[in-house]
Amino acid sequence: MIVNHISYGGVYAIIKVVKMVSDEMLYLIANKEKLEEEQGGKYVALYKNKIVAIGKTIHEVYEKVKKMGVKDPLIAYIPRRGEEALLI
Amino acid sequence: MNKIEIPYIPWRGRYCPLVEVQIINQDKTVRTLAYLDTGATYSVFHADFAEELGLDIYSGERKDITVGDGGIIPLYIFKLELIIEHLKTNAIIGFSDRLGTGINIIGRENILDNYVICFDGKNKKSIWHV
Repeated sequence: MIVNHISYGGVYAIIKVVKMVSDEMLYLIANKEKLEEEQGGKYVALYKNKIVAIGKTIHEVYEKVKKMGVKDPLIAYIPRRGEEALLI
Repeated sequence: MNKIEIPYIPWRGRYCPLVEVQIINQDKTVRTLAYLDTGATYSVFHADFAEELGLDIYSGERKDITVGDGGIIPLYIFKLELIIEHLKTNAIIGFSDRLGTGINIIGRENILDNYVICFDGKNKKSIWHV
């Protein structure tokens, strides 16, 4: 956590700047390119700093993680080639 | 005043405002990614997540929404607890079995409209003033 002190016309305000990203998100950011090459169009389950399951559907991924006993994984869709630009 | 900074995530080489979210229904939780979309009225998640949360999507209130090509897809709306990073809110969330992309969407209704958010594309992060 970073705390900044900012002055507004001589009056000081304390602004807390909180930067929080989970282990799973950090892994995803660090490995996104490799995942896109290898797993494009699939769903992955991330837990801590690794991929614990891969599947073509969300249900398939959840089935695998339930069998493994993994609690609260992060489920992410990995875009396939051709999904570079988005209109949402 | 607090600020929460959430970094953009690369999406096939382009940085996008994707955030980690948790949706909670009683004792069931799902964690996934969603795209912050100020152009969307409703938040939309894949129907499979509703089933994982123990919801029968067709029991939700149906809303028909118009998408980019002019087509209409049905959404089934629920009020559920949503956590974006550590911001907790009772959100209106729609589920659809017609979502044609793997990406979920966080829209304005009852979520983005509740906050002051800066989309700092230059520095590749969204900044939430809370």
